[in-house]
Amino acid sequence: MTSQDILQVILTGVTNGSIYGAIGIGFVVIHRITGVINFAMGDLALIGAFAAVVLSKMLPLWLAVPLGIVVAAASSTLVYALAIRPLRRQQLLVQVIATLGVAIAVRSLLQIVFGSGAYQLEAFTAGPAINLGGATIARQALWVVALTVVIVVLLTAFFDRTMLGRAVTACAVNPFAAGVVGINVALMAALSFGLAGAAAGTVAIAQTPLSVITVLGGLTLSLKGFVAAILGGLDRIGLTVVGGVVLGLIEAATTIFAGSLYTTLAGLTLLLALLIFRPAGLTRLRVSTRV
Amino acid sequence: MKSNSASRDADHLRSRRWRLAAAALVPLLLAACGGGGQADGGGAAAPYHLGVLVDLTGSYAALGEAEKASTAAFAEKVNAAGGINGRELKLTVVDGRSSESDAVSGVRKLAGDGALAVIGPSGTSASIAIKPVTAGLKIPAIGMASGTAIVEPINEATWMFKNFPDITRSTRAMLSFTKSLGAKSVAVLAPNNAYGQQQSKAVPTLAAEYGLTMAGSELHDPDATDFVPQLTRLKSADPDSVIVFGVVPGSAVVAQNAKQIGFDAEFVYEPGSASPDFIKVGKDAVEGRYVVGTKALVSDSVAEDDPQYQAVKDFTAAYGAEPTQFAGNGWDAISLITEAIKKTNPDPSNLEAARTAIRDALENDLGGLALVNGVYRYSPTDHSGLGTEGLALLQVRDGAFRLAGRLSESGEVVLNQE
Repeated sequence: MTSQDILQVILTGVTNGSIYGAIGIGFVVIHRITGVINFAMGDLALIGAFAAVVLSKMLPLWLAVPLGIVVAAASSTLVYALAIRPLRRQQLLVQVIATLGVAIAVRSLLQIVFGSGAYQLEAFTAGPAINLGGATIARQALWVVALTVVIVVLLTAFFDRTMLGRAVTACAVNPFAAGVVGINVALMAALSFGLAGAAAGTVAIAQTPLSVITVLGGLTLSLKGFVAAILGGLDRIGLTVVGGVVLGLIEAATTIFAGSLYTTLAGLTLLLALLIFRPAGLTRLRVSTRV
Repeated sequence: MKSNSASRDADHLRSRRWRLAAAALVPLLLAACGGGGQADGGGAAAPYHLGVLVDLTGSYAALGEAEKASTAAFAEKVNAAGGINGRELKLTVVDGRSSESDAVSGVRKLAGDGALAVIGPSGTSASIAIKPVTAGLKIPAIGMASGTAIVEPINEATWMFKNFPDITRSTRAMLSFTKSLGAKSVAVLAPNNAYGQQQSKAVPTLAAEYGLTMAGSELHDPDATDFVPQLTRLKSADPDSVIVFGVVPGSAVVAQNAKQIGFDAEFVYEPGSASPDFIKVGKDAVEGRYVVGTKALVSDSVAEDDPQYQAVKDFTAAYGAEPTQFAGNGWDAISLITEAIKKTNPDPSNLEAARTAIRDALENDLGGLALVNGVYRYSPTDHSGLGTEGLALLQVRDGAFRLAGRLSESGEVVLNQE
């Protein structure tokens, strides 16, 4: 174990962790407002990535990327309108299961449109990877991390500082009372789906140039994002990103120091241990307050 | 009050409309999930019904799509020419989803539907999984994968054939080549499935034969899209060369990640990378890299006096593009079965007799059949059938595959003199 290896664990872990964290934010934003755990989050984010790939063939990258984010947000809102809202009188569990159905539907639709090949996007800023004391980080990875930070800052400011954000939060605290004081609860729920789609979509797009995307990638994104969201207590945006980074670091450290055979084992053990011993994740919430 | 009830009605109507829309989605999704398409032959005589069990989703999708397209092109060509023995070819495509269990249920479905033989699956793990099933159902299958265990031991593989170049030979080629470049140590990167585990276990013995020391061995998730951690670990062992098992697009991302972390060992890739996707995805990261794969990928390497020349020409005319490893595998598998049908002229209404006749003909009557990816010589003791003449050492130069060397009988590389 050299300092170089440790540095590489940190760089890889933080990069992947930011991706997990941003998808996790998607889970958290929707769960806070509607109580739904949206297992289609990764697939919805991927719609944005595929949209960006297609648009980048016709438009400059600086235009294709924001439009891709808009597509992710719109798809997410559409899912609320088509699949969740019609089930609003059903139990929460029914709605959650509906999101599983949506995930399969989105995957199938992507498969029909794009087939099963690998798709790529140009890096936002060209250039070789950056060398830091023997370890390396791709320039694109810096974009991923930076955009995740921007998402956290913007969403936190939105929920804490703006009237609209407070209205959304009010729905989360007490939907009935929020409705009584004239807040359109359905609109706020749709907004939360849109915001979640935008946040997760942004990072899904930003991570595309790091590797490739295939239509089946959404499932992995959803699973990892879900672990991050649990670490954030399904409630705290900042802690969700911290949770994602913790997962990313554990994965990278396991692979580099123990061998890749143990990577999945370590990640899933973490998930199980959390669900058993610390269902509130990194937060100080009691379980009863968020269920 | 009236307006209130009207708005409630409108609300009701709206929610009904949503429900209708949702209901309309269901059959659409079912259709999407069903996947398989059927090409019905319309001739007077009952058609020869063949099953195409390939992976259209999952980590082997890049293989399955090419195999599906090339088998369809072959059937179209045959049917346009009046079929074989006066009967058309009818293909039923089933998605094996890169999963062992889906492959097994796929074989059962195809056998139940009355297919005479199965083309597929696309991967080694799935091919091993269906081996006992083919024996139970007495239906011949040609797995388009490279693992030796698909057809060994031979007494368990009576109904199972394979048509991908044998991985032991291509591994020998990769190792002997790195040796000839002066490498002293070698590391292995392979997917964590039955196929990858088998390869990473086999390499140390073969490497020892060539006097190469093992510097490391890493497995990765078959669906992985980030290999930096594994490569970081291998890099710290500082091997002279790295043997990369696994298929595109993953293997091309390995090249990109290796470049990113400045890992400058000589990377050599197996036939699963012998596809234009390797260059399309890997871009400048694969420039100069070597792949052991089908020589048909470099069209001018198959000269007019080459036994494979005619097959490559037919393939290109029907497929509309030059062969790749995977498209060639599909073409060769359906060619082999068609040839067996031609030889035995079985009656498709007697399923059991027809299946047995096709199996027997595959094993005994094809001689040395020269096709796109090589010359096939199945026998009662060898259901692998493919020698090394179809393989070559390819190098990526200026964004295209070039022929860098040929392979000897045992799989050692004979470099081109330039």
